[in-house]
Amino acid sequence: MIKVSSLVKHFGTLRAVDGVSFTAEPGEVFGLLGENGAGKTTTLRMLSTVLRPTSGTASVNGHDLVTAPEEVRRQIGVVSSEPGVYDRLTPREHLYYFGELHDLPRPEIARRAEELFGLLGMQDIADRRAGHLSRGMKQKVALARALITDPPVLLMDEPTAGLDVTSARVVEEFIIQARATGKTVIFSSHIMSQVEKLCNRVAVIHRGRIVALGTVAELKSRSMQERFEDVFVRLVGEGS
Amino acid sequence: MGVVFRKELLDTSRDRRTWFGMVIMPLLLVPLLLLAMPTVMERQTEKVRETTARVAVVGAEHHPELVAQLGQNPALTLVESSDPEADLAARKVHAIVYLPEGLRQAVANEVPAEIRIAFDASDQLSSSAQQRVHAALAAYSSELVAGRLAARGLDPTILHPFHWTVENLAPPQRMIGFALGLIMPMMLAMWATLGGLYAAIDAAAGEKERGTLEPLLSAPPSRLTLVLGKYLAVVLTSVIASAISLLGMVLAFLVRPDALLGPGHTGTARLGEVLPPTVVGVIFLVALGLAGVFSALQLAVSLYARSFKEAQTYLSPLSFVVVFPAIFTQFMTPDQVPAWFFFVPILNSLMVFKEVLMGLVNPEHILITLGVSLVGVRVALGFAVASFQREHVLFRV
Repeated sequence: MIKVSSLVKHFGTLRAVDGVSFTAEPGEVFGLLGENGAGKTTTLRMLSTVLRPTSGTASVNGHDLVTAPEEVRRQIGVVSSEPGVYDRLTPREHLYYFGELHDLPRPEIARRAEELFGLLGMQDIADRRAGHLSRGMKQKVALARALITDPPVLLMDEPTAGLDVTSARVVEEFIIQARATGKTVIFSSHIMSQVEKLCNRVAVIHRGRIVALGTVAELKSRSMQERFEDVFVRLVGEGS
Repeated sequence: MGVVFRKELLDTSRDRRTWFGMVIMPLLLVPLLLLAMPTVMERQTEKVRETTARVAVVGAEHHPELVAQLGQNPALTLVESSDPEADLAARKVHAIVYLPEGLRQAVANEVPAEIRIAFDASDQLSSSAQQRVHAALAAYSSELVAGRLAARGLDPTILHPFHWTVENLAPPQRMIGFALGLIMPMMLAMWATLGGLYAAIDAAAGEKERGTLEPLLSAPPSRLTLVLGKYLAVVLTSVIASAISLLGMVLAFLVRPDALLGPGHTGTARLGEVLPPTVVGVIFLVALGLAGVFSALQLAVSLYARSFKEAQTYLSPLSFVVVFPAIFTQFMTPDQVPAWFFFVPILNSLMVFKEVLMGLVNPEHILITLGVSLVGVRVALGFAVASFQREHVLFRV
């Protein structure tokens, strides 16, 4: 479970995140929807403890971001729009590296790796260097890396950006599966159809603030719009 | 920390740039400098020696006997030239001898006369020709002096109250140490400081460029642990590069020990005498100190850069930090340098390398150098760790 309360992040004079609050439950995909620069990535980076909040608090499964960052990092798996893989390591070596960083025993990593390679259809590329893989394949490596510890919380920042339709679908199916297994997923995107398809609840974020929060159906009915895209445009227009 | 260290080593070991910088360059460059350069220079000198100098004489009619004497010299060939200076510029003639008018009469009257020799100092053959003409004229001059003395009933040997012979008593290992002391300190210092450069760039700027930094920072280990793991991998890479340059030196010695003895020396030395375990140990410790300071600095600077290329631009000038002091101290002998040298980073390591290669193990100098390096490591590593904590450095755009 994730609890975010009045989270603020300043970069100099810029208020990148300005008092964001929400909760996300296990078995829920919580969407952060916003335009580029709205504050989605900064919020996720604070939740992954990579950035330190200027003020406000947040906890991941009861562990505070600021006072227990290491514990928070043990709860999460992170996937971002950039696959971020080491070109000279194989997918298997990636999983060993990140598994060991999480203190997983090697036999456990081996077992999980085989499971993930099967799940993501990566058996053929498991021992090929990542530099030779396509972007879609690299993103699968990033997914497998985030899942090697089977974390209860997944933080996904536009994980399908730059992927072709087939690869994007693999990621989407994977998110649906994660939700079914009781994981808490925070999913940021600016693609309406994806948010509509995957998220239980959505926070529309604009200029660092949450301008609306609820299920897609609730947001549609509140703004009396049929298309979610129109809902978004209206909300963002009101927020500016 | 061990996990990060092992991953960095594995990653680095698969990087061709690291192999080139860490193994191939030190392994080839050192024997090249120690063996090939002296051999090439020797051959060049020999080639000059074997080439007959072409000399044009202007005013030959002013002293035909002298010209005949020059013509008999096997190292010189007299050539006819209508425009000697143009021929000298075109390298058809190596030297020009100008004989003044009335030279013969002046010599007969025992009045000093001036002979001018012209040459082209930018041409090695011309310089050699000038020296040969000079020697030939000096020999002829001595002959004339001997004749004049004899005419006055004097023994020409009164002009030479002494005769001397020269003997080099330096043992072979010291000669080798001297030769190594000219080149090896720079090589050892260069690879101890720069051998891990690519590893450092890859471990920080490379992580940023690939987008791997964020997943790494989201893993449980603290940033201190991450920095230390990376740092130790870079240090090890640098020390290995330095050790390989030492191996290159050993190979050069084993292939041609006489090349390092210098000309005219006929002694022999065993490797164990040139490179005893104490010397290897001191070289290792001092190289480790240098690697310790520079690896941390490189990591910190590399982390500040946005990309691999930017890091390379920032860090490339680092080679001057080693090369300048190395050139500055190349011909200094350790006993000539003031004590403060050993408190200056890099300068101190270069001098200790030189000392031990020449067979002088000075514990005081070694301890001061290692102490200075330790302080340097503390400061540089503190800087690197602080950089990994700064958000504006990690996410600089």
